[in-house]
Amino acid sequence: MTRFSKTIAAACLLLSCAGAAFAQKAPANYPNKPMEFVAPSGAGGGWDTTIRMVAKALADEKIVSVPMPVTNRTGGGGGINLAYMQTKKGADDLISVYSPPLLFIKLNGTSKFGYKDTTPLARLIADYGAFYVSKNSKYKTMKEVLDAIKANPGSVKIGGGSAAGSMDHIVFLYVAKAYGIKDLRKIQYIAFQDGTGPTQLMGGFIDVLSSDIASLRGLVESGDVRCLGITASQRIGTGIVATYPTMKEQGIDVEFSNWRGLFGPPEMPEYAVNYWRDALAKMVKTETWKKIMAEQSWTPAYMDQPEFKAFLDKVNEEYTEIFEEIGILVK
Amino acid sequence: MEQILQNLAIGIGVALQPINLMWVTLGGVLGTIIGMLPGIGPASGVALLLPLTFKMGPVGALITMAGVYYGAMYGGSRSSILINTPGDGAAIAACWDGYPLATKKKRPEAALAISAIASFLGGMIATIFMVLLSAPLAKLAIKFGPAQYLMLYLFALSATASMSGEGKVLKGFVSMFLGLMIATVGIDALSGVHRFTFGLMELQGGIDFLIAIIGIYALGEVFESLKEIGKGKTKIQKKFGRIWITREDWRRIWPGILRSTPLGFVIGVLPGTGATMASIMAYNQEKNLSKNKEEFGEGAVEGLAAPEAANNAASVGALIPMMTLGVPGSGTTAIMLGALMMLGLQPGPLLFERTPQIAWGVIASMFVGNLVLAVVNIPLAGVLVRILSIPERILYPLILGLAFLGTYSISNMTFDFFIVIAFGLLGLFMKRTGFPTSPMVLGAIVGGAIEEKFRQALTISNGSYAVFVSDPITIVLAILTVGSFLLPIIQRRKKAAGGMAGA
Amino acid sequence: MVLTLQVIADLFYLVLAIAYGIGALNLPEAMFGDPWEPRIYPLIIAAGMAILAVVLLITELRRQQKTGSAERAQFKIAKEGQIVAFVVGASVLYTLLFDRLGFMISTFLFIESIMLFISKGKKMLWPTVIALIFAVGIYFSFSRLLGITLPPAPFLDF
Repeated sequence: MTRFSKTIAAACLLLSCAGAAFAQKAPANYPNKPMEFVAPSGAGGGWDTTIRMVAKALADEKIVSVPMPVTNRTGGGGGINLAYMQTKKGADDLISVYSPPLLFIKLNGTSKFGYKDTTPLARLIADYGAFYVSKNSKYKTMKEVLDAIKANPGSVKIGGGSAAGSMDHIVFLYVAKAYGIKDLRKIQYIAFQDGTGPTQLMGGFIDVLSSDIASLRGLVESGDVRCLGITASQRIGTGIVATYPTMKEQGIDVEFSNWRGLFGPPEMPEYAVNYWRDALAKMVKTETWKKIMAEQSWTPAYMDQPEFKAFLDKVNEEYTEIFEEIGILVK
Repeated sequence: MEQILQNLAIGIGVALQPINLMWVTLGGVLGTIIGMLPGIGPASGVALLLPLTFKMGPVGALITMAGVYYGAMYGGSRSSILINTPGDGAAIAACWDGYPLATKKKRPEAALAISAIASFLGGMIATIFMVLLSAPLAKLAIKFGPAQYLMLYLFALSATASMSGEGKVLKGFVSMFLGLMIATVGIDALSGVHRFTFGLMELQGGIDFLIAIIGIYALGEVFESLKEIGKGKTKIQKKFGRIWITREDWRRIWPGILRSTPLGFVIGVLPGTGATMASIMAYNQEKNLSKNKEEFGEGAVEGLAAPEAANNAASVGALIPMMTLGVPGSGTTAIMLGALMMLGLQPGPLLFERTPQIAWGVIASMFVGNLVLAVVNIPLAGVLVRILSIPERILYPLILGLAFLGTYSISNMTFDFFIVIAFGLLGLFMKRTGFPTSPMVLGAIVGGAIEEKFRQALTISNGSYAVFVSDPITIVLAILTVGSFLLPIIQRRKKAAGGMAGA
Repeated sequence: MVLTLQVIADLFYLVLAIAYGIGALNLPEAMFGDPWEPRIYPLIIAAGMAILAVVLLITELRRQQKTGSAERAQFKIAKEGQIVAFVVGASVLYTLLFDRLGFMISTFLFIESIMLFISKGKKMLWPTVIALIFAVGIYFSFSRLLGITLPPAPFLDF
């Protein structure tokens, strides 16, 4: 090693020590540089839409003045980004959006990390599962579907947009379990990860499609598909969405919320956590945010950090139970 | 018909507004540039526009995004032709004849012109199809269940593998199996089982075929060319002519363009297939019908024109399921769909009725956009062709830099750099031992879907294999698949018989 | 049997197919539906590839017998070997340094090293300038104009 490179190496070492020593101290004007907002999935999906809307509302309402560009760090059902967050322990400039799959990926063994390896900031919104059939389907209510499954589990083909053991699949099983169906593993779920679920439903290749509330709105409006029910506790939204019946109305006592919230990296410094809790609390009260919620058919579900943490512990127990029952729990 | 003309008039009114003219030009040019950079394709280009769409409004946003999408089809093949590295997946077929045409035959001007002309015609004709046929074609998309998709993929695969040329058919199939193998890496979507991931989280999502392509082509090209430098040979060209084609070229390419445009368009309409498959299938079709098969791979003008027209047509077709059904036809349209919904617009069968100015405005803008792109692309090609005059010692290090940059912008993971390197080495090994790489690439592209569709179809049919020959679509595709196996054999027999008779 | 490059390639695919097939057999059971389902397709691929590799191998050996000619594979570290080894080595190093040194520094070093290798160290002024412009120019145009975040240089605040 030449003397020059030794000097450089020493300087680097010194600088990194200095960096570590100052890391916890709040910069006077935090945030003073661009934030990294992350959607752990591809552009255009649910996570992506949520975090982009948050960035838009925060900027439009001038709550946050630094740029908040969105990065799509995809892969592993969100696990890739979760692993990346572990390398950013203690950083104050990284915020990701997550939803129940954050808990699923730990339970089904996709990721060795879980929600405990993040800093939850706030829960923001809830979306719900919705089940659709094509216009000519013989099923008129969710009960008819579930009765048919009870009689012969293989006779009803359920399609969904996410992989087996993830969102769309679990939502349906949640409902089936509440209805008293015992052998959840026998329910036939077919994953269409390329987003072709709606055409498969209209073409009669599957009987029921498990999806979210907004995606099939256009097809319900045109009468090509019908919505048999949603997993919210009461009717939501406006226009055609308000006609979607709930499970409870049909005598199935179940509610499943696809909540979405924001998470910092593990050990996010306190000044940053406080800043963002405060900013998000302000944001959810603004008109811009309320307008976005209405447009996207989202339900407000704001929850500040302490309650959100307790909520995560609670739902984690529920999810664990259902994963155990289906037999895909990885301990 | 009258209704259509009326709507189109509304659309043209919207498309010719100065602000929208600006958007379509911006989108097209941005798409061309993004398309040229390896790895950064239309999907990244459209994603990039997402934050801006809030300011543009729905019409402006859609027009610009569509412009990026088909603009990328123009741009992607520029790098295929000039540096043998596809700018995106759909431009891969342009490497096969475009690059030899530019370097071996020393006709880069013609290659760039052919690709621009074919792209233009493909885009224009496909837009006319869209005006006339979007409603019936949306119904075709619904007719495609897992079994139909499976048969389509099998046909595409066997046609590519059996096209590998004299005495290479078996090797072509080995290469295809290798591609299928690569596609099985990752989490199995239908069961959640981790397969061949070796415990690496980075492999759970599978190996992106674009990254494999970058490895095979960009690194392969660098290895190949650096070897030549050592021998004192040089490929650089100093003088360039006008970017245009000869009458002879035109005579040879127009039938292929007319054949591959409808093919590309229909493939594009089917959700989940996309422009890459369309261009590969168009290449196969053209090679199959051509009288001078030997010239394919050595710089045949038909072999460049056909896939270029097909991928542009496919990018237009892919907009149909997105706009009329709210179902993404490709990765790029998935993002456009997300953008529409973020803007509070509801894609679906009623989009054309409720907001004709948006739906028809976009369609009309594609006529304008293709014209703009053709006008922009010819002079642009005159500048780009000078890439070939950059000394190798500067050009090839930069290509390597671009290859890794493209890889990083796909996944944001340096782990994928190792995959690029591995595929570079694999590509070299296959080349030295006479195994064609294109069946492997196609195998890697459709392999995952083949297995998924196979299992989905069997689940739906409760395990009955009859589902694979259950309707006219599957039967026709099955016959075509078997035919593509037998064709090379029959041709060889014929040749042999002819040889005997001659002797 | 003479170990030609062709034979080596055929053996490579045969071994690969077998290893892959064994891997497929040892996959964990599916949690839904038929536990064998995730294994069937990989096994079909493995079988297809193995059969083709054997056929290719036999064809090649028969050709060797018939013509009696067989060019033994030569493992000389020739010009091509050197180039490949250098490019691969530099690429691996680049991969390892990419996140640590940030895009600009690592990319400049990577491109510069390949240029040095090709030019054999002569006339390096222009290539160096171009490598520098490439690394800095791409970094800023990507992060500022395209919104694609590349790893920043350590200790530099932009």
